[in-house]
Amino acid sequence: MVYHWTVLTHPADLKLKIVAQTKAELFEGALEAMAHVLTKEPFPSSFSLQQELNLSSVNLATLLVDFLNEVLAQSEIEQAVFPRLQIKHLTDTQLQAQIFGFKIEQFQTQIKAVTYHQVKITQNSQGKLEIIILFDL
Amino acid sequence: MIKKEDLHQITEYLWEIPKSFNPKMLVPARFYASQKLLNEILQDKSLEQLVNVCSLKGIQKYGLALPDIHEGYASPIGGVAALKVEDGVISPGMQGYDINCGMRILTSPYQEKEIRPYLERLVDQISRDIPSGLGQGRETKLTLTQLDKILEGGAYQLVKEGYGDEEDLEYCEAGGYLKGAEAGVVSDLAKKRGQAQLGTLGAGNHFLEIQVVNQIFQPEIAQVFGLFLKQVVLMIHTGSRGLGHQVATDYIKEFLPLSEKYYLNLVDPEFACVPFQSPEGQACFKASQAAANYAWANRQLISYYLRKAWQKVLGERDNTLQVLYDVAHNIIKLEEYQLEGKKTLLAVHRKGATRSFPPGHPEIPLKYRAVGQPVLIPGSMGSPSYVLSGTEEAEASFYSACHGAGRVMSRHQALKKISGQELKQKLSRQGILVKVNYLAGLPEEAPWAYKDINEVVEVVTQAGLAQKVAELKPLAVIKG
Repeated sequence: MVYHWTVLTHPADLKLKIVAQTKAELFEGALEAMAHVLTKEPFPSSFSLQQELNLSSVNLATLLVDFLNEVLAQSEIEQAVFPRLQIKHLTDTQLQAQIFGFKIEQFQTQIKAVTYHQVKITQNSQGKLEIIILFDL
Repeated sequence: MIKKEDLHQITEYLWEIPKSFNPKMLVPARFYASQKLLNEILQDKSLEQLVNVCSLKGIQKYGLALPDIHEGYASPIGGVAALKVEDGVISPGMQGYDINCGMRILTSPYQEKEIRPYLERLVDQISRDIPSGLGQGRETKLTLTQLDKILEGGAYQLVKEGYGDEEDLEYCEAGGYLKGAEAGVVSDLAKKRGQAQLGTLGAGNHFLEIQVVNQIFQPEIAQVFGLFLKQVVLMIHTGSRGLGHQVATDYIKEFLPLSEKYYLNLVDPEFACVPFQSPEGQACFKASQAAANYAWANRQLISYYLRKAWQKVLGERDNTLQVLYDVAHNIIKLEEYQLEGKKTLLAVHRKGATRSFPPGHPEIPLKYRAVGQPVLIPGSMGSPSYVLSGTEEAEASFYSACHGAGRVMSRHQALKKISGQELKQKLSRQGILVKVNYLAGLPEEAPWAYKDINEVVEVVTQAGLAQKVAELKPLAVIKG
């Protein structure tokens, strides 16, 4: 696991910074971070839910936001949290992946949407990839 | 960060950031604030975001913000952009994800002392009958055919099916539905999210409150609105739930690759937009109206269950709750304004701003037409809410007033200040009963996480955007 995330200050919503070594790990880290926002329940060792996703977007940053929004919608429909993914194909504009999740009783936080607000991926001084994502609560 | 020196003071409560401040601005930015609120506003990035609003193609006069302005995403919350329909854009991010998040007040004929003995039972019954909370839906899902009817018929469709009276529609903005809505341009995913959520409150800052009229400022207008001192009223704050969130997400995503096609330079991808008159823009507007209809239907169905709960506790014959008004604060509406001597059709994007039509406006119910539209402003649990009335001077703000107090403290910080249990007890000592699904999250919406609502409303009043009619104090709060 070569990613981590931190909560940044925002007066109304939730701002997360995700740092990872690779593009794939950035997606993994962002997904896990969102799952931790949605529930405080510990993640099980095996997952009862599995879904296929096939997405395309204009760049890697918006692709990541699209991906999280898609997972968020599935979370609400299934009343579930999806903390893991397996990437089959990832380019700067396309993603094919499987997500894995589990049913929960109640969400801890309601995320209305993952926003595109000033979203971009940068490289930090250690050569790692960074993205700051604002979640509308 | 924008500093006080960058601002030009127009009146005691009106400030301007001139167009020369940033080359991307097509018009100046204006906002309403007292000195005290100004100091708070300067602490976050809301004015930078307001400057960005001024770059939207087709924007008229100025990008505008109300005194409850705070940092959001793309536009600040508490922002208004009036975009010319003829050659301007439509921007779902300038409306927000919770399409037609709004307020409804129902009045009762009872005084506080008559309801106090039943308060706890009322709160229990209401919270049993109206699901609230994080992702909470109803056990029975709407079929897709039923849902499509709601998307195109809003509260009107529900009243037709027996979930309310025709009078409810008379006192609802737009009669409870926008005729331009089209279910066919709402995605399957959005519909899937909406199937089980009609008649539910949701979480976050959404709530249902039992309140008492604590002060009357304009007795004649209050009488027209059916309000009297010590009267018990019910306030509903919710919107279009997951369906609306998905509609906004879908169209922002769809618009992102279209900026090149339409030669639009975006200062922030969240402002993704297309010309209002383009096929994509028209589809977005139709979908947005469908989501707005869902929100009106949501507040209508909640009112239906609220009336049932009321009857269960106070007696089957007690069908006494009447809609005072229902108004959106996140919405895109077509409105006509006189600009440079010509009637001009504008797509007014309100993101955290309440419409405030003046006396005589044809879109106000006949009963209220002489006094102006009721403007419903929620407080936050321990703090008061207000009923205002629209004024002619509000034309300066494209007939918009504030939509609440506006946050000053992050949810994270608010949670650190006090526990849910402590806050519940504190409110209980003030005579406010709290019923909440997720107690640990309660402090996120504590009164001190927001600006002083009294100050915000005072600025709105002093600036002439609306006038104070009544102050409402919470007796009980039901939250997700």
